Amino acid sequence: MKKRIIFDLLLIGVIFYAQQWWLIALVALWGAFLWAPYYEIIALGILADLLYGAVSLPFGGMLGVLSAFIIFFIGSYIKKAVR
Amino acid sequence: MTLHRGNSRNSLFERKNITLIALFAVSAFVLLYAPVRSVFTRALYIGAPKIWNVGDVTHSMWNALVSNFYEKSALAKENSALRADVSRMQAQVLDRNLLDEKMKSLEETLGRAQGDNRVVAYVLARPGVSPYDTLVVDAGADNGIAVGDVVVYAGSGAIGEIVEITDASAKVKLYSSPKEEHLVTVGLHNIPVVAEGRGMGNFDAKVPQDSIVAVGDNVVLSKGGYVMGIISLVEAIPAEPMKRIFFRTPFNISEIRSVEILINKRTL
Repeated sequence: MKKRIIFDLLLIGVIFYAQQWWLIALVALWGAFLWAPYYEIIALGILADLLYGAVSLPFGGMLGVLSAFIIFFIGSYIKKAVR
Repeated sequence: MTLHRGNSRNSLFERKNITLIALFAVSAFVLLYAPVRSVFTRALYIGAPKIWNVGDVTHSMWNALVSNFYEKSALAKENSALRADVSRMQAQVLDRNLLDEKMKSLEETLGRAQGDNRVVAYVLARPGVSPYDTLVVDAGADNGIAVGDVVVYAGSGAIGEIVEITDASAKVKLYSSPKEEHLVTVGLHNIPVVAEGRGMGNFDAKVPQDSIVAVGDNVVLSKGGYVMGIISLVEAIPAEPMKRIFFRTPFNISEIRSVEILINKRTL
């Protein structure tokens, strides 16, 4: 549990400071694999959308959340496949 | 026993699905319902600029520490800063030439002056960080900024416009955002074309095959007359009716530290 919280904080840090968006996606995917089902990723997707997006942007400014759902499913699928 | 285990697995699966559907509904409500989104964004932006500032301070402190040990690295950094200055100055020269031309033309025809009300804002987050190709700047409603205001860099190139504001910050949608289309004029003959964004300050457009355009020509936004970029490549296949031009902003978008927001200047 403690490790999971530390990872959540790390991911928040990456959302704020990472110089490339794909790095955020990669770290999130790692989390989704390690702690499937990783529901926090949806909240972090909302955080990314509120920080960088706007309603007038593509996908109604929901790109972060939609990506979070995709990463959630990919992470869960990989976890199940390698189990 | 097997039946019981099967039922329990089904119920777990159902619970997971229900949780996901509920999370999606909450996300959609928070992000698509503008008043709720605005409340959350404003709350988040009370602390977010401070977090970014901590990152910037830590980054510059780390750079200073490392450059003490690595002279080569310090020189490389200085070189990079000088290159950024040169790029900014080139953009300013472009702007001055265009403004001079415009001013003369205005004086001759209308005889009326026009002034800009500009607010300088520092960039908190650049497009590389955000997947949206947006900038986050540290000026907002408190500085008189409104949605739709044009954002320029180094007093010259138009880079985008404000799409969302809070009290002390704003989000800028770049003109170069993928699939964004803008009416522009190209080259010395002001050929009107539609330019499409390619992300990170890059654009492309198609002009008729017999148009006189060359690498280095200016591309100007039709509405407002701001410099949008400089042609970097012309791709012409003689058998085709159109030739493709690629242009980009005369500076690196990901290295921008500050921008100017033109209050009450809207391209729309």
